[in-house]
Amino acid sequence: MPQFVQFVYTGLVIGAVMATMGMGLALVWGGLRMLNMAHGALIMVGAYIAHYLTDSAGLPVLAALVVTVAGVSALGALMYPAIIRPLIGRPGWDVNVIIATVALSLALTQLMQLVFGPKSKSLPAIVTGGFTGPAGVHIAYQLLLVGVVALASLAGLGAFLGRSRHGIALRAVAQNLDGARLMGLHVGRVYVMILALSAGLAALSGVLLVATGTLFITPTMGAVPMLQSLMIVVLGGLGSIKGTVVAAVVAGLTVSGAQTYVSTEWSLPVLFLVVVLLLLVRPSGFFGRQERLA
Amino acid sequence: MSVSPAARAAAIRPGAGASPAFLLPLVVVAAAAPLVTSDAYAIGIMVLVCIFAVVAQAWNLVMGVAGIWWFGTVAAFGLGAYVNAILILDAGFPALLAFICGGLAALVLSLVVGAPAVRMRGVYVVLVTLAMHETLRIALTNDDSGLTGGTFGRYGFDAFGVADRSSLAGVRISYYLALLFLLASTAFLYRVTRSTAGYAFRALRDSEAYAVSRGIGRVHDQILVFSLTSFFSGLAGALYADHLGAVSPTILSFDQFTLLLAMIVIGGWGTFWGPIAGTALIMYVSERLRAVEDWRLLLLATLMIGTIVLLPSGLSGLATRLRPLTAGVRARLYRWLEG
Repeated sequence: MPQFVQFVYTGLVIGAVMATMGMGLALVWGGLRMLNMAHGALIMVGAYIAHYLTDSAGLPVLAALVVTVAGVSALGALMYPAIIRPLIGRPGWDVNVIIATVALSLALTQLMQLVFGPKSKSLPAIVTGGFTGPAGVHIAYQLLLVGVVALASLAGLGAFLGRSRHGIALRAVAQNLDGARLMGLHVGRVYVMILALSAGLAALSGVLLVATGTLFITPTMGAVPMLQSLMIVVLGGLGSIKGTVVAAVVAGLTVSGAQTYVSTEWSLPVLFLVVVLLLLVRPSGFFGRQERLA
Repeated sequence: MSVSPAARAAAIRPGAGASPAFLLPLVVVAAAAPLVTSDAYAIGIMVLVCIFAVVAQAWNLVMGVAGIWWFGTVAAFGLGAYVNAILILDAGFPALLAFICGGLAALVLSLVVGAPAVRMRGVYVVLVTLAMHETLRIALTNDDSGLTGGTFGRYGFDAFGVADRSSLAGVRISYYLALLFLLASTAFLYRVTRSTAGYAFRALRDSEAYAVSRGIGRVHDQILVFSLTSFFSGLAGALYADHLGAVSPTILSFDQFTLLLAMIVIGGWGTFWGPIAGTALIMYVSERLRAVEDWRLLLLATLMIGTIVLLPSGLSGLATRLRPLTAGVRARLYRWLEG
């Protein structure tokens, strides 16, 4: 019984972190209709920058987190003039952008390997210790903090998307591009904002993933989060915000359960199996309409 | 205005008018190359060009010609390599039989994954095929029964009577096998793209609703294209394992995956020559960059991004743009070839 409660608790925290990384991918999918295959690489770059800031520049982890998110957001915004602007709206855009971001992912992976070497890194713990909660659950302060930061970010994102001018502009572009243009929106600027926001979320989730202690910082660490994000976005119903959060919780519980009852290595195939089974029941995800791309 | 039947056929079937005769000098050069040089390393690279060119063609068939976002080609390649190695090492299969089994195993994998993929479109196919790739990689790496050899893979087998592939004689045999394989696959895939099935693939890519309304069976044709792609990738993988005399999970690494993608992108999607030219070019550039090994993949990835952004249809697009400039030269060449 304690093992069960423990896995549910861990699963919910991992689910919150997965929601932040899934939201990043979902925003770009919803807003730009593009699959960003460099999302995992941005997660990895975020983790490396945070490592550099805490290790070499001596910043405390939470301060490093803020600087990291700002830095990777700028990187995301740079993707617009470098890759997105020349390709968007041209024939073959949807597949060209997948390939371009795969290439970008390799470039970032190699760049980080060149700068930091192939040896794995980690982040210092923010807090140590913990307490034993109800039903014999061991609650480490670190994991609790990770969950709180993830939930606070999601709440902030929700308020941004729901209330602010920019958030409303983002949703307008996602809902109806022509309509948004007719209302006088500068679509290019909204795209830059979406890319920056998505990259910022990737960086945040990268730091949080490393802070949970289940992932080390290596140049290829982005691969698994990339696939997990993709599964979450597809399962949630492509581009749906509510769906993404629900799917992230399901994915978090699945991964945590697989780690407890199967093995860590097999958690990704188990998650994949669960996602495929759920997609057989609901082919368009939790909150999506049937996607017709071909 | 009257149009000659040949001109009409050329208009309907692009490339059908071109004479295959001009291929002959290329084949002669390719066959003579390993006899001119005695650099075993260079011949080894040419072996890889032949093998990767088949993978690039196979991938191009499903993604470029049929327009399905299929990212399972490298997984099929890896499975073919492993099945081939295991059958030779543990079951004592003769090389040719193991080679064919490698292709068949990849075909079966594609049917297992293709069954759900055929009901899906776009990004769903990306998800399913990438998950297949990653699951296969995890399974091969974490298997501790000794069948796959885990992280180290399996090594130390010889196939097609080639015991020492680092020797000049050994690598020459490897090369002729690979060249033969490339020629056979190219001829076959060329026939497929120019066949009724090939037009059906393209029709489904360009307008699915219209193609289906004209009586094209989507499920049947997509299963066919998945099988063809995976079978040839699996065969290529088996030959790759024979050439190296070893298999390891690095076959399924992200670097390998992206490099193969780069070969098609730089050559040009959906074209016949693109994947072959792109493979040769990428392998050449990649070897030139060995001098700056740490920077090699970074520079190749940058080259790949640059090509997509500046030249989305790759080398073949460049060739199309240059066509008017070379019209006179080509006319004279064809006249000369035809006597």
